[in-house]
Amino acid sequence: MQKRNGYFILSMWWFILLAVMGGLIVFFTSDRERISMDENRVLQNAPDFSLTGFFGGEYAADFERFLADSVPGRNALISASNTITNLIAMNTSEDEFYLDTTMTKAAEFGGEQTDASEADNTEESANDDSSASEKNSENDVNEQNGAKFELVKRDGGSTVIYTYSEENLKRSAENIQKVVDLIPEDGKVYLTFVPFPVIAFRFTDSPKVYCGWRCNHIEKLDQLTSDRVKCFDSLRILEPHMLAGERMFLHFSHQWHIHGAYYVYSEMIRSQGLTPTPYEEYEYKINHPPRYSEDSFELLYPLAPAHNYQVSHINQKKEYPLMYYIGADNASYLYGNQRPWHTVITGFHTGRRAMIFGDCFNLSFSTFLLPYYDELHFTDVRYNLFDREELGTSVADMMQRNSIDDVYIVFSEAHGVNSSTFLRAFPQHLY
Amino acid sequence: MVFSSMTFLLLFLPITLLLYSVRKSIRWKNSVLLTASLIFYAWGEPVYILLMLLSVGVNYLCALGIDQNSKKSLRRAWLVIGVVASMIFLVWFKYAAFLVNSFAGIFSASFHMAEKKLPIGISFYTFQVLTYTVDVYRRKAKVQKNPAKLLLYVSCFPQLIAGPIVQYADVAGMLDNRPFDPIRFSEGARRFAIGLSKKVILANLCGAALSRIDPADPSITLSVAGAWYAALMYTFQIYFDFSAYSDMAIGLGRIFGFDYKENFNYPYISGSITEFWRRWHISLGSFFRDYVYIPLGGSRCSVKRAIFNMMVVWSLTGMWHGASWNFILWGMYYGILLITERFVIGRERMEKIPSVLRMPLIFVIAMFGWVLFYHTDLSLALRQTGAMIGIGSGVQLTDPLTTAVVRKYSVLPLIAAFASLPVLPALKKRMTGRISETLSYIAATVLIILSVIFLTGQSYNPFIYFRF
Repeated sequence: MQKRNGYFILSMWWFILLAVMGGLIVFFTSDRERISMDENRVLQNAPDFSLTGFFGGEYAADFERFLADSVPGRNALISASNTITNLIAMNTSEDEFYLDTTMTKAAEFGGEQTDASEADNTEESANDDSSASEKNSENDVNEQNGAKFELVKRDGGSTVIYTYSEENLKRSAENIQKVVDLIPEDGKVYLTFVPFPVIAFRFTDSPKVYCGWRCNHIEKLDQLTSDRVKCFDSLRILEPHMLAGERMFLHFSHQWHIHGAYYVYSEMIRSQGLTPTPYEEYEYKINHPPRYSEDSFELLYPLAPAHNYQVSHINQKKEYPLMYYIGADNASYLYGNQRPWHTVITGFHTGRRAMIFGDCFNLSFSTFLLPYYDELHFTDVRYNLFDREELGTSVADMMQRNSIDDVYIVFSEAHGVNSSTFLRAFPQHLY
Repeated sequence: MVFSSMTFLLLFLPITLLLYSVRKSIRWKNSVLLTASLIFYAWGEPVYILLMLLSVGVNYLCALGIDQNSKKSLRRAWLVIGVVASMIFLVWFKYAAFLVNSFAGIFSASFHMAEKKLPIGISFYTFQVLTYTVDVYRRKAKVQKNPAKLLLYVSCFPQLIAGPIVQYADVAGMLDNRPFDPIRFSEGARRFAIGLSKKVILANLCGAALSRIDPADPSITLSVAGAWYAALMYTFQIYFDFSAYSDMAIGLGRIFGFDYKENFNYPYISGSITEFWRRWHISLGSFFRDYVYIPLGGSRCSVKRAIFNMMVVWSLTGMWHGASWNFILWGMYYGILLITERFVIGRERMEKIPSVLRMPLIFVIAMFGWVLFYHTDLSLALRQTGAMIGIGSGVQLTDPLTTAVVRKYSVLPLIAAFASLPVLPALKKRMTGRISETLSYIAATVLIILSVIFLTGQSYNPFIYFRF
């Protein structure tokens, strides 16, 4: 009987400890904005109660996210969960890489974007009809005057990858306009968002199912911003090359191929009335990543006479090599520019200076801009990479100090219109 | 709300337990449990609570009508009203669009009816409330004059949204008297811990592996190995998902003083299809046996009639799972298999086959069934079935994606197979009671900790069976 009581006390303790954990979260979680550096996102705070939210189900969903995001020792628990999951695996790093680049669910690689396949799944739970849910999501988007990114099927249908709400499009456009206000009258903002390879390969590797891709969020952004913002639809630019079998994305990395970057750069330069440098005129060497020999990529070189600096505390410069030849991916270019501030003195004398906002997708792209500007300045506003203390001031202040003429915004879709990077971190770090 | 959510584990359950144990009177306990159950249901989907209240209200009145009339025709009239009213709600929300659109398709009409959002658990609570009305009609159960008690029977949160389907006669007494028992409490808590870990760890990991080679994605080229692996992962996922929910429901029931019948009994060790369905979703099988099959005449009739009865029951069983052709075909698949087993092969001949052959055979038959169950798009079900037997244009034996996924989740099928076999009960028998009990509580404590760890790393994850 004593033993039996022991079991009862033990099981009571399970519930007591769970209650303590719940109490700690509810009563002691800070109201301030909490950011998860590892996930590059803002964690959910306790939601404000509203009848509309309660009846619509949003309050319950946000509250659940709040609890999950606020569990004491969250990072350690997530790490433990990953360790345990890895214990049951016998995979190699190549398998891991292969799975990362061939993942079928765009959401898993698409980071923070609103993923339509997730939305479809939710719909499926209620309707058990995926085709109907595709239609529903399309209708929802049209009704809300939002936009979407979709793969075009040969049978006339489509698979929606991302949807973009009207509100997010408007907020993104407002953020872009804030940048316009920081440059002189003759300056322009050039913008593009680039999809991840996993989505591109989903399209190109299934030629029997898909015949193309399209989006209309870039067009919407163009409409919502002033004439000084030039938006470039990378899907439209890259599609004919992809259909012709050219390699626009890398298999061994989550990056686009330098050829893809070249085509988008060419279109941006042509829009300025300039002629892009023919690709053949670049000197390059072909690198073969050691483990993925089917993939090769081209390193443009030499980039001299340019000089490459990381900048901290407004004007403290530290020079870094322009290229990191030992490395085997596009991060080799303009080494070290994924920092709060980074400057390349190009060695050309054009009298103009450009600023590039972007994630790692800007790396191979930006090399092509060197001949058009005296200086290129970079900032990476992602939460896990931007550090205002290190920079010593705001991005807007740095732009003024460096007399920026033109701005290029080159992000992957993961940090695009729906992401906290573009909607929150971008304006937050700008000022 | 779901059992594997932080809201339930960290707040709802501890608060409910605390309030429940404040006073000993059954009235207080029932009040706490009823209030908690309504909050549980309303959390996230408050509008549909009215539908459940209406369904219970109608059946409450009908049962009173049945009880107060001794004339058979009047009793039957009240029964029909109750059954029809309950079924109208279910049909309207779950089947109306499917039926209308199917008819429109047959007659090439352009009319299309939009699908309704399915109220959570409607299939489960509709069947439960029907068992009450029918049992009162059959004089198997006494009428419940207290509407709150009837509402508690239907809405009691441990079994509210994904079963098991509890028949009124089985719990009627417990609504009036449930003394607290610490032994039952700890046993219930242990059962809950086992169910939670089955869902959060096993079912979700199987789901993650499946999502890597999602056979419902037409852009994925399925190889023979990929198709089998996906089928295997879904076979385990659906078992762990659903049986986990039943474990948690039974465990919670025990904590709050209710005895719910077992819903799963290691179905993947079955040596025949008949046995499989005696071990899988037992409460649904019992419902259809008691309330559809036997009233239709059961098997005490001509062979033709018995076959007809079986096909009706199994088509309905399939349809209960969802308003889609694949579910109906899945039900008919089992109907045909059971008819074949019973009338063509015969029990004696089945038993002559060594169980070492029968068990894997039944497991493979179940896997093919789950392929049909998984795909609402029948062409994709055919594609996967074809790939499993090597038919289809360009079907390869294996592919790099499957190889990578199999290596990533290499130990998972072994753990899943181990957990789906009655290894632990067999071990328990070999150990002395005290040692096995102590070990089981230590294991349950570890499982609770692991579940919290996994839950933290996972997002909100509803159960598959909620859509039914």
